[in-house]
Amino acid sequence: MRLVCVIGFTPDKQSFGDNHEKQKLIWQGCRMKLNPDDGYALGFALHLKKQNPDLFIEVVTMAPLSVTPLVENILRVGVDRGTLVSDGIFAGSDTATTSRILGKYLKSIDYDYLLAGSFGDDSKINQLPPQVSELLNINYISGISSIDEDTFSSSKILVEVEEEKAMATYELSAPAFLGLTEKCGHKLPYVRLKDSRMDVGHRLQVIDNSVLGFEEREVGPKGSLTKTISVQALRKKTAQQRIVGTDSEGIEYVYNFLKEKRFI
Amino acid sequence: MDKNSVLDQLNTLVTADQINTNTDDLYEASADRYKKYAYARKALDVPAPVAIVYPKNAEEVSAILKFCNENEINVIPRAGMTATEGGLENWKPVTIVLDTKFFDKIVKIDTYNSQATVQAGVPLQVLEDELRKVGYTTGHSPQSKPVAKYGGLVATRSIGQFSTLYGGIEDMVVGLECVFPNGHVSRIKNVSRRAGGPDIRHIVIGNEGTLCYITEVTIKIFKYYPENNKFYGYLTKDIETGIKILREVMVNGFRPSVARAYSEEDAAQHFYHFHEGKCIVLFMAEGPKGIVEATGTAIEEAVEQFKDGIIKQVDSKLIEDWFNHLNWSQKHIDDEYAEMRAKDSHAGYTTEISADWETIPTIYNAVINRVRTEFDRADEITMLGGHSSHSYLNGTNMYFVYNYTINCAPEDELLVYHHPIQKIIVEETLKYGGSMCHHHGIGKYRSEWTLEEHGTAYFMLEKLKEAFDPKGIMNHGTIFPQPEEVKKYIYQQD
Repeated sequence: MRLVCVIGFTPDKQSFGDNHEKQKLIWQGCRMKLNPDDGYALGFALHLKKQNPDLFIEVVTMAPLSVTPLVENILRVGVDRGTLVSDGIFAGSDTATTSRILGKYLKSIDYDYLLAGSFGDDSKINQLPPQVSELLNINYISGISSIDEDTFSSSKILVEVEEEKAMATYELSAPAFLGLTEKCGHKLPYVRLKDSRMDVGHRLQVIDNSVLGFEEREVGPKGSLTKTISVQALRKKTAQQRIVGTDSEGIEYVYNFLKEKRFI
Repeated sequence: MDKNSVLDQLNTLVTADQINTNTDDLYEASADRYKKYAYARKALDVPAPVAIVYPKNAEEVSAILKFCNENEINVIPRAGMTATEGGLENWKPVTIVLDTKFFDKIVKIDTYNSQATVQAGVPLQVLEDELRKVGYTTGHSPQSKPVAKYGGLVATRSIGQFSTLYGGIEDMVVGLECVFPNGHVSRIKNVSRRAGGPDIRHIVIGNEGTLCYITEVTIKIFKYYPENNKFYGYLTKDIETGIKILREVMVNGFRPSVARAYSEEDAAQHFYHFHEGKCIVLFMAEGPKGIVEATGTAIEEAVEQFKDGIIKQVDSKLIEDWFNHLNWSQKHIDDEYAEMRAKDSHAGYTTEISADWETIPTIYNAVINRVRTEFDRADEITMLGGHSSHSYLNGTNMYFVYNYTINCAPEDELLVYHHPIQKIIVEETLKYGGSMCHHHGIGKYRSEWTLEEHGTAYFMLEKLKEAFDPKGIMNHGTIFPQPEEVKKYIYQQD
């Protein structure tokens, strides 16, 4: 069985900056991190691989080459192959164009299921799996909170999706795209210290436009219907601090505060 | 000898219900609280023992140890399971854990002679509860009091929160019974003092299961005067002021049961409701009324002497409340494990050292400075500080306390975070002439410095091991350094 995890990297909010004058996101120098929900999808795939070592896992991402060390670390925790779709002319592509680029690569490989996180830190990531599924003409289900692992080896799998008022169970045939949530419960493991310098270069491939063959007008800002006009980092609201004593007035204040916040 | 043969032979020595081969229990028995996070995450990387065996008397212990000695099978003595330094961790593929579960009888409470005799598996709390009924106390109150058992307390040279008055366990043990690897049972009789050669109790006290197995202990007991307890607390400008006040009280000949000085960081952790971002010094005076009053006066005089470093006095009720909730129970331990399973964090670690009064502040400052400037994950430390909590005429201890966010695999946590910090603490302590180990025992994770700790006196320690455990079957890797296993299990260098 072959699983392909389609993952995305987003700017780490700790190092997120914006240029106030130009209202543009500053990507350069921004530390990138794996989209958290994609980490759960990867964690689930690795969990399955633990039980079935013959399972082949490939991660596919479209990102600048600067994420190479992050992809290498994913290979060091047990993923078999990493594919970094990256080319200067892809930079500035919107989600629909990114989906077309990734879709073209995914059409060229074999897989049973595609996996990704359902939700992204970056809202654009949320749209990618359904768009890719549409291009590949396969089913997509998002919000999966659990997968019946016993069904994974059969032709149809059972997945549970937490809906507003009920838990729905769906049956899917391969190939399909599965959007998982953190409720699946399998975190991406950290790289073991002893593996941190493991050479994984031979398992990492970079797919550029010489392989995919897009015209320049089809990708990047020119090939994108939507354009980012301005980006601003969200400012955190800081709650006002109030220090009270351990006298009855202070205790009453804390009690009323907890009551108001419905902790009591 | 292979595992199945070991089990077959054990079955000829004890009954089947005394041999535990339950997988979960063996997993639990393969390490102690030093590897609490890896344990909680099911990521322990050490071999599980073959079995946990529960002997019922000294004769059975003798037979088991003889069998293990003849067949060179590693034995880890266990009582209470609150060890924090890897003393209960297993580094051998074929190991038996010898547990004190059935050594659970209080043999005698003798108030007239102020002593009590217990078997090694009696929990400290159980004896304390019995003594309270007759107006006495053990005077021993480590944080692990509700869980710890006497065999473990004696084997690790434990100390309690009231040690400044009552002493450590070494000051309390009157006599004991123990069994050596060749099967010999020794009883050290209970007398008020002796001068018949070196004090052989100290071969057993603190041996951490590396020389013998403790089966019975007689300890001193003390009259209990809770109605006289007095509490004192002060915010101080720095930890040095707190240490100077502790010293003043001690060298003037007073013995408060509790005498502690906290750094700002550690004070914030313990006294969130009144620390005000400052250091804290606190005391508890205990005993007969006249002594308590005299001790209280001495504390106030010492505080007055160093008033330039005092910010303000704390309501004594707050100190009393804090003391009444200090011990951790089995529930605390279970809750911490549950939290570790759910989050990439735990309640932190401590490393305790000791030195004379003059040297303690030097070590403290050197350690804090080195950790902050040399530790390559210093930015992931969420808490770093310390407190002095056990004082003596000539010096005190320092309990370094630290915590961090865990951004690595559970198997790597100790090597990435805890061990490098502990290494700095031990190196600075030894450099300035202190002891790297005040009361938790050396275990396995400070064994690489045992030789440096003892210097030329290591000769004596080494000869004890050669004499009592020539085949090295007792708790392999604890106290006595084993370079190959240190490389493998501490530094992950296979």
